[in-house]
Parts: sequence; structure tokens; C-alpha cells
Amino acid sequence: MEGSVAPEGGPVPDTLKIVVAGGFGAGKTTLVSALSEVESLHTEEVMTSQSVGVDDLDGVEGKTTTTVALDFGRITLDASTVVYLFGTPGQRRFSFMWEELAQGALGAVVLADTRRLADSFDAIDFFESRGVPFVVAVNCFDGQLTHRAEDVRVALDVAEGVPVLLCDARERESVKEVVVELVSLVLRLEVSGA
Amino acid sequence: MTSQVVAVPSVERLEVDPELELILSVCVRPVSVAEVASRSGFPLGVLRVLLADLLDQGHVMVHTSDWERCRPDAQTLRSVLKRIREL
Repeated sequence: MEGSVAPEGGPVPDTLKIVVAGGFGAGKTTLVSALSEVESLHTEEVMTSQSVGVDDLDGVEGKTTTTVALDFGRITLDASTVVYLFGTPGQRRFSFMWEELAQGALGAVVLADTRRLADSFDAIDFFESRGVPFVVAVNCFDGQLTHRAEDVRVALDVAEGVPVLLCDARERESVKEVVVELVSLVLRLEVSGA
Repeated sequence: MTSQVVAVPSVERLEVDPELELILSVCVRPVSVAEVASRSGFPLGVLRVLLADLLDQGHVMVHTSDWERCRPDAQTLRSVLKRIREL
């Protein structure tokens, strides 16, 4: 991995891409921001009344805006390696974005919201069918630590080899653990030749 | 999306459209296509077309990581893991 050399002489870093997929209100933007060295770069729009009935907000009444475009964060590991985290909506009608994001991605995090677990099915199906390694991270909002990871695994019918872990998308250490879990999974797959 | 773009330095002041000048100004150092889009305010689709123009004219270089084509090897992954843990 010698990398290319930029015109001004510094190395052009190689990039690793991690996709974070989750339903509206699941905490994608928060998770990306928690680990990004720059304020997460994104476009947010206030959801208008036109989306009522289209974007079901049952159980997430506290949220007034929702991310409708890509948001992403950057983590520079060293001069030659940069990791990008891309948050993308988890509903199937956004799957055209998953196609592009999954291309060349190291892996994915499916960010699940226990109030609306069903929002995770489409993303899980997608990554499974594309052979993209992924972990399921269950975002535990305030006082919502009532679920166990194993219960969520059963509810989502996630395969045995796929890590399911609880996280707090606001906490840097917790998000780091999720990313470590994902990279460890990719490493295990690489070593086992899968 | 994560390909790195960097402006090719020029001694003379470039005669380019203001849109292209804006793009060049945000990629003085290597930066991802996604970041150029975010900082310049162009939607990704539009930005790609403008970047292709700049590339044709030799004003930018684009580097796509080999990791987009094949996963990093075990050794690289171990070092990535170590660095993430150290964050």
C-alpha cells in the first residue's frame, strides 16, 4: 500500500468506507458525529407535513427533523489511512443509495431502534444479499436499556455469525466499540478466507 | 464517493468557470469527493460532472483506493483495529 503522491508531495490517503444504515430517528447522525473528527457533514431538512403517512414517526415523536440526505464523518487513522462513516436512511426506497455506498465498503453497521425494529429488516436483507459484512448495533436511548442483544437477534432473525451489540450512539467510546466489532468481524472473515 | 481529489497546482491563474474555481479551492489538499460536495454545496451528481471536466482539463488528480476493489489484507486490518482502539 504505497499510495499515490499528491502534487504538493504529501501522500494521498487510502480510504475505508463504513456504511451506517438505520431508520428515521434511529440515531445515524448522532453515531457518525460521535466518532468523526470533523463535525459530521450532512444535509438535514425539516420533515414537512407532506411526509406524514409516508414517513411513519410512531414512537419517535420527539424528533422534529429527519436526515434526508447523506451524512458522513471522517476519521484519520494516520497519514495514509482515512475512514469514512456514511449514514444512510434504512428504508427500502432509499436502497438506490445503499447500492452505491455498499460498493467497495469495508462493512456496515445496521443501527436498530428497539421502538421500531422492523425498520432494520430491509437494510439487513440488503447487506446479507450483497455479502457486505455487518454488525447490528442497538441504539439504547435514555432509559430504554430494557432489551438484551440476544432478544434483538431473535426478533430480527440475525444469523449466528453476525454480531449484535447494544450501544449509545451519543457516546464516543460506545461507537468506537461498534466500529471495532465490525473491523474485527471483517478480519475474522479475511483470516478464515470467507 | 470516497475517492480522493486534489487540485493540480498552477503557476498561472486559471481561467475557469467560477463553479470550477470553487471546487479547486476546496481540494487544495487531498479530500474525498463526498467532502468536496459537502463544502462546495453541489449535489453529488452535479459535482461528479464538474469534477470530470476538471479531470479532463488536467486541473485535478483523482485517487481511488485499492480497498474499493478488494478488502484490505489481514495485516492492514489489524493495524486499522489497533488505531481505532487508540482513538
